[in-house]
Amino acid sequence: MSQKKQYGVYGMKIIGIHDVKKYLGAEKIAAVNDLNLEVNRGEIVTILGPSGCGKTTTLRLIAGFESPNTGQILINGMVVAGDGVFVSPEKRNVGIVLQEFALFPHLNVKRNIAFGLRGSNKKEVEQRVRSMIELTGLQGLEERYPFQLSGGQQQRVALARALAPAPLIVLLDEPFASIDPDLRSRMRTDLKRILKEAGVTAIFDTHDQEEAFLIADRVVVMNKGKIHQIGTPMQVYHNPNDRFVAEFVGHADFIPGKVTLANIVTEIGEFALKGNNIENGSEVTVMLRPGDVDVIPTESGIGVIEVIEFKGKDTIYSIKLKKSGQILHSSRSSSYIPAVGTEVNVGINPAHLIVFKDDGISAKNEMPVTL
Amino acid sequence: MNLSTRSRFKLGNLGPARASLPLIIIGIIVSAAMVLPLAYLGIRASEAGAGIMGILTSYRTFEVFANSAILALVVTALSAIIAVAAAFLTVKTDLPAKKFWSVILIMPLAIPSFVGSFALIATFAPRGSVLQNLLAGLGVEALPSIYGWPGAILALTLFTYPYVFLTTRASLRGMDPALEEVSRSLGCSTLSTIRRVILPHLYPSIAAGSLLVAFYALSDFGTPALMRFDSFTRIIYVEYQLAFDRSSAAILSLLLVALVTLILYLEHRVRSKAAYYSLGPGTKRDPTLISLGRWKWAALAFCGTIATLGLFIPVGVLLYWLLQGVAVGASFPNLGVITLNTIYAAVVATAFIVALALPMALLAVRFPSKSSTIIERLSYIGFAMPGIVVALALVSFGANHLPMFYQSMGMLVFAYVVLFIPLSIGAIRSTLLQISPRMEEAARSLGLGAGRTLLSVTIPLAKTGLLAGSALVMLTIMKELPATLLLAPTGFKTLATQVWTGAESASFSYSAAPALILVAISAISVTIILSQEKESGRR
Repeated sequence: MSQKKQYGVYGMKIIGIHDVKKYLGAEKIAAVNDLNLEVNRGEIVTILGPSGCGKTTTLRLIAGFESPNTGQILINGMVVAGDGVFVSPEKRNVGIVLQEFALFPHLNVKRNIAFGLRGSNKKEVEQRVRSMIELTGLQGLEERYPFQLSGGQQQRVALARALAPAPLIVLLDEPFASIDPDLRSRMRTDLKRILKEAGVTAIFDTHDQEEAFLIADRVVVMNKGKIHQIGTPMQVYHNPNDRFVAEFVGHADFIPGKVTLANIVTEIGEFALKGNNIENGSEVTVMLRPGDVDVIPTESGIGVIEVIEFKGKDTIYSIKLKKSGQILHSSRSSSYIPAVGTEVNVGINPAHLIVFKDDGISAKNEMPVTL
Repeated sequence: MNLSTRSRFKLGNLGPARASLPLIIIGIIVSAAMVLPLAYLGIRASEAGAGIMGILTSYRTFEVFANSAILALVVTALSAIIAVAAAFLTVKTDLPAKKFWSVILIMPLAIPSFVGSFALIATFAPRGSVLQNLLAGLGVEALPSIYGWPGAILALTLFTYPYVFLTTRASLRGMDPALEEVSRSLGCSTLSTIRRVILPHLYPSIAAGSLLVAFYALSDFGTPALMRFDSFTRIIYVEYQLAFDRSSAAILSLLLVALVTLILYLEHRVRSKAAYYSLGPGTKRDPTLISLGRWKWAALAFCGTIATLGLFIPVGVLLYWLLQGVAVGASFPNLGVITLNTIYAAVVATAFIVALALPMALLAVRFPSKSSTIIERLSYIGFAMPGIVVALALVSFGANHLPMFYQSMGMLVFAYVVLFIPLSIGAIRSTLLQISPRMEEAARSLGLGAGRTLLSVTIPLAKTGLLAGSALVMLTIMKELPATLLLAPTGFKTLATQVWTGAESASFSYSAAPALILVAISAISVTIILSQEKESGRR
């Protein structure tokens, strides 16, 4: 990823975070370390990472609930934190939607939405509230109090409330964590539509990669306070920067192999190497997504189907490789299902090859491609 | 959360939900006993016949009504102001030694108001008090009188504001900091966040606590009596003592009961509304603290003043008079007997109360039906009857209809049962609600009968709750004043009546020791109440 530092950016870039460090708690743990991130106007960016990776801290830094120990944060070209400057949250024009929504329990839906609309005249406020209610599909619930709303409705009120004052940016902290799983997928598409219709720049954090891919224009993968990759969902999934990203954004198997002149030799076959500079004789691992692996039943194959998980629209096969005993996963459509114990060969047809050297979780992708 | 578990347990009845006959019979007897004093007062009042209107519209009645109402209003308002300020300082600011102050500012609750009033009189009385003794060297012969309005307001405010402090503090601490953050992100400054978000969030708890204070101010007997302030309770006592017109006292009593009932009803309404207000707890982050800056000293002075008046002075002065007494060679020959008397009466009454309250609570929790609800509601009458009212009703009932029962131990115990059975039922009820009826069902399915299930499953499970509830009832009885004063057998002295006598006759060192014992007893009950609240908060 190219991360050129453009100080004082204005226009396209609405958020600039430059070399930000933030220590938290009595032990001064670096919750966020050397953070560099720029967000374009109107973009939806997702920060994806396991709990404790620093994603919430990143949002709180942008909102102004935390101030960075070092580095600089710019919003719309103005420094809001760093260089001895600190703009308080109420002056940043950044809306937030929190995990538990934090609706004001003493105000009904209408007055919750109108909370941030001060200074304008009554008629304008009413008009704005009405258009927010329409945007979020809350018609008929205007007079209800928060405790009379379902989780999904509460989320929409929180979103409407955050969008009402027309903020530059809206931040969403784990927006689906407190919503029933069966409602979640509908709320995801709704959220994306609402954010795009409002034309607002949005950043939300989640630990659920599926959620991140569905909504985001760009995904930022974080771990232990550091950014591992910034890219489109497609790039992050199919062209992970390093092994952490590869494992975190979806299921992957890693098959050991050895580099020869033009190939990587593995237990399940040889992969052609084109125009690479990996040292001859290196030990490497090849990443395979379940979708890239085909199951071919034969008389005597290189593996045996050990477990079959029928999931409806597709089926996941766990194939035990005869030589090493390693398990390889394959995801196929569920129209034809061979039985457990069937001997199989595997057909590998990745769109492109992802290869890591054998040096642990931070191993870099040796063959990055452009997607 | 709490509500849903509660209602689920309530709905889950044991098999055929028919209460056994003994339970129902006990229930009916207890409710009859609860209704008796009130019914008797009604009969006495009606004896005035056409005179009722005369008494109701007399200037005297109006004056008493106005005095009581204004006293309650002023005390409530002052308590709310002190308590909200104290809660804010100890939760939301960087006040130094916050933990220390939050404990110290709750402590005045452990001083029974008549003991506190006694201590304030012993400190500030015009003559012979600590302050006057100190100033005597400067030629001050008498201090301005503490009696009347200033004393009554001061004492009631100091010893009841902790009710509001507790509710407000709990609600402030339980408040999700996310609410403030959202408000900030929507453009509100700290001050406007306090006004538009935090205070509205606190209103229900402030109201609930304030209504408790108002209830206390109206029904308390000790403080107005000792401070010679003509409120309902004092006038009822005076009329009784003059024995001039019993029906007038009865009418005033009924008027007071009506007023107190209204306040309790409002408190109940406010509290159940407040429950709706708290949605599930969010991710708990430490609340952001407001920096006091230059106001730090003013805040410390405020907390210090309240703690000094409400805790340090009363306890200090009691100790002072105790040492004074020791110094002049006073021995406390009666103290042992008095303490034993107090414990004896409390233990006997508690045994009766728990024995009657357990079936009542079982009836209400495990066999909910129209009739059991009515029986339970009736038992709460005791809450709405100030001690002096029950005492007055039983004194005249006993004197007129049961002379051999009059001023006997039985009469006193009966008064205690009427006054404190609601407290016990409430405690047992909440304990039982936490025991899943599934446990009892499991026992029944294993072949145990209803009675044996009660003995071998329900009661062992409820044991801690039962013990804590009983201890609370016993400690509360030990510091009861008006009923003990009017109904105790002649010559039967308790700690409370001893303090009363000493305060009335301004012989301070005479009462210092029993007063200190009462403070200790009260401190224990406050500890029990607080630990129970903490537990239910955790659930």
